[in-house]
Amino acid sequence: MKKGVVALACPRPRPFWSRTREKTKTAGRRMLPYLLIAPAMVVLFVFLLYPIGYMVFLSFFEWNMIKPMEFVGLQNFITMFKDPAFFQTLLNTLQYTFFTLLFGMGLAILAALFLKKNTRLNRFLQSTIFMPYVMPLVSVAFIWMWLMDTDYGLLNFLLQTLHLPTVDWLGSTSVAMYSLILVSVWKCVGYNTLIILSAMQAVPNYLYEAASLDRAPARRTFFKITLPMISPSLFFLTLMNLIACFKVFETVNLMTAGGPVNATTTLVYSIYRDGFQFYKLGYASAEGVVLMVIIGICTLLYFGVLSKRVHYR
Amino acid sequence: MEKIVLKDVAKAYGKNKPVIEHLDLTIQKGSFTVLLGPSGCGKSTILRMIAGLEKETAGEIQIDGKSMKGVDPGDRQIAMVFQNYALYPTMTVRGNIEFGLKNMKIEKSERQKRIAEVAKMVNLEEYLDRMPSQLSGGQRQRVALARAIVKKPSVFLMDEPLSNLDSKLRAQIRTDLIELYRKLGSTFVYVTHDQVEAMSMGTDIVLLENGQIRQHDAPIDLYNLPANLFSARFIGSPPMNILPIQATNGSNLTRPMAAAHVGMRPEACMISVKRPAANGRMLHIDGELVTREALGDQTLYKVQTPYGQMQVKSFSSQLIPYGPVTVSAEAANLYFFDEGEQRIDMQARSVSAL
Amino acid sequence: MPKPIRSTARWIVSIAILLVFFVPVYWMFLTAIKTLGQCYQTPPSFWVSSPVWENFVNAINAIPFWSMLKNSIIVTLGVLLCQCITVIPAAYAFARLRFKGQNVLFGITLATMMIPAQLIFLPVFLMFSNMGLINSYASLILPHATSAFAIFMLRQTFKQVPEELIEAARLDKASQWKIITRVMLPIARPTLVTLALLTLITTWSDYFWPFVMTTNNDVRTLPVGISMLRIVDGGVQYPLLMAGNMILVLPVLIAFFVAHKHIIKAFTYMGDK
Repeated sequence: MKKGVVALACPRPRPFWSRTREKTKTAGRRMLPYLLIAPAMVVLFVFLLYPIGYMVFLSFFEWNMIKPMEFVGLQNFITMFKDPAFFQTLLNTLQYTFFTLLFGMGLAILAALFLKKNTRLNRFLQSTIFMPYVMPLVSVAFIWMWLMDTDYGLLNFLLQTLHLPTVDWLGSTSVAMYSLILVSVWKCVGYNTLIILSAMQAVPNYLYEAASLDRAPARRTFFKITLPMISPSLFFLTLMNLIACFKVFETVNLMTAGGPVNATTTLVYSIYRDGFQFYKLGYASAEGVVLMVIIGICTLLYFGVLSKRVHYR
Repeated sequence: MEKIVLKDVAKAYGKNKPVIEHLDLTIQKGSFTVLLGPSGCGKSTILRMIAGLEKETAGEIQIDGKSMKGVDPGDRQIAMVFQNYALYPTMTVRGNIEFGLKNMKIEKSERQKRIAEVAKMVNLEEYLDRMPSQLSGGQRQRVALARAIVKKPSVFLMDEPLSNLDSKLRAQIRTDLIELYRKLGSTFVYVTHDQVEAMSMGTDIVLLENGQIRQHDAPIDLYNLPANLFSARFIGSPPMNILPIQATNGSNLTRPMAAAHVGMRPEACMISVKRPAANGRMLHIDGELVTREALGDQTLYKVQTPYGQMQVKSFSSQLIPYGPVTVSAEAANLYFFDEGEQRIDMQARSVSAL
Repeated sequence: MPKPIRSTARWIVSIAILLVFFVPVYWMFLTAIKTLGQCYQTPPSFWVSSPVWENFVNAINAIPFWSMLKNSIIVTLGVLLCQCITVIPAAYAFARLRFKGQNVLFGITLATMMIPAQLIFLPVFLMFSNMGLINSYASLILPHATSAFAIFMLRQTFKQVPEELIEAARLDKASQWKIITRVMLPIARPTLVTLALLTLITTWSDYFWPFVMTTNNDVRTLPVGISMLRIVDGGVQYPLLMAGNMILVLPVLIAFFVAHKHIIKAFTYMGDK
């Protein structure tokens, strides 16, 4: 934008609050910014940053809220990495994340391509796809729990009418996780579509005009123009989706309670269970530290990749 | 009587080299003073310091003889019109005009009276309840003016207020501004990089370069008596032809001893195919006609000479054909400049004949 | 592909999309007005001629509905109010003022956007329990009393306000306070509305936080209450559950249809860093 360039080129005018009449006024005005940000900062520090530190601290202790805290060093982590159940949890989380991301993004790109023409029907369809995203997760979980009911659910009824074998959606160790993934994709695909569409609409039209003058086929136009142009949005969306997947809890808790036989126990659910049901607070904190490290790595990776590549905007 | 005085003012941003240093400027009461210069010359900064939007790093600014140190912009009895008008987008035209009055704690009946007055003056009566986004560029410009006028300030500051308008509208608002200035009788300080605006409206022009005043004069003096090469080149369109003094070699013209450059305005030059006979009152320079722009009432010629390119503005309807030509100028229309690029006053300095 | 096949394919896909996204919601509604018998009948019926509204009454009676509704409203509005108080000044300061440590503090603010509630609920629960504040509104409202995302968005909006506008206001003798309330906030109104909607929807819908922060029904909100319908009388009674679900979803869906454009914009915001 022209305006921005101009603003950068000119020396920034001195802010007016630094201009003063009296000494007391100066001090007051110097404090003003800190006063303004103080409420927000206090909340962020007390309820986000301090808890992180507290969690790391707790991960070195054994504590069940009854007996006094006992320092155990890295024992929690050692126990954790020796526990096959923990690896199952980790694996479950990765499986959930991978497939939700794959289908959630893949279908969203297809949907965005399908809906990219701005017609009335397409706008309506877009809103329809998006609707589940604003619905409370509790509702979505229950709706699907009902649809996936083994005996009376709509899904199995449909399979029967098509003369296909019915599925034990939430009760089978091999299927339950994919059922949760299905719900998650159903809920988030509309959001992804929305973001991808808005990124696509931001691609300047003259690029497409130039491409059509160059007689580029539709597929090449997509891979050479659309995809690179929307890649910053795609990267950001991927990060958002990743974090959303890592923190999955509601559907697990309401639909499967981590079962059958831990087949759907994810990291957050495991933290919840170990902390709130088994009162292994130190151990649960150690699991939290693992989750934090995973999210941290993804975020750093994102910013690393972002600063190196994807500079089309 | 002086209205605004800048005494030894300097301005620096952060630890950078100052953009303005040791600036002394006096603006007379009731004058229409134009701060003119290329972009980056510091003219806007001077205006903003007068407004109090920026604090001078050193020196002092006085309005009506009172130091403005520590006086907030709102208390300086000034009004400013911005380049992009800076209308409050969420207020109606009336709201925009009224905002300042409300802050000045002027009572309602008086506010309404003033708004009605000013709306009539700038022809905005029907638009008072519209939002700025529903107005054309020219109308927004008038709202910006109204917002300034209604405060009855003793000084109007204007920062390139016409640069966002198309040329036709610009010409019209130029005459409107002259009318307004004559009607209000206040002091106007006007910043522009456009010499036409400066020449047509200003009673005083302050020509600036690199934060320094190059010349401060009435428009006609700026044109007729440029103080230096910068003034000579900046004022006039196309600008004055400046050639090295060697161009006068061979002619038997009187020229000052110290002269390093000779200048002549394109409109004071003549162009001919055949070289007229030399005499002591004319300077002739041979060259080749490069381009020719016939504009109807006048023709612009560009001529390549051994001393550099020259431009000639001719009001003759007869077109000169491409090929070798001679550019001539009368001795009385020549300007001489010394090594330091200052103009040599022919009356004051000793003159030597060659 | 020839045109007619192409357009037929388009129609098929369009209808499939509608079915996939509407049928589950329709099924919820339908189940909510069925009797228990109709609900478990095979083949299921896709239409109910005499709707059973008792399900809603039963759902409301099965849980402390009214107190939970009150809690939901208190928490939702409380969070909104707190966010107004914390977000607007912070966004203004980050956008328009210069101060020492600004970049660091803003960077920290941005970084906190990456911390989900699911990561820190355990330590926060322990903090509140140490203070004896479990089962209090404070434990539900305070942790969400600010939003790094909202600060970020509002800062962008404030930054886009041209400097001249503020200078014009200063020349009009407007005080700092007036500059914020009369010039900046009106310009940021669309952003504020959008952010408010976002906060309202997410807080109203949130199940996780009230679920892990509470140990009794004193301050539990509706989503937790509705989830309790699942275990009424041993087995799952789907008509009851879906009726409760409807009560929870309806405000959101109504908001979605009414302020449809705003909500879409709100969520698009969230994706455009």
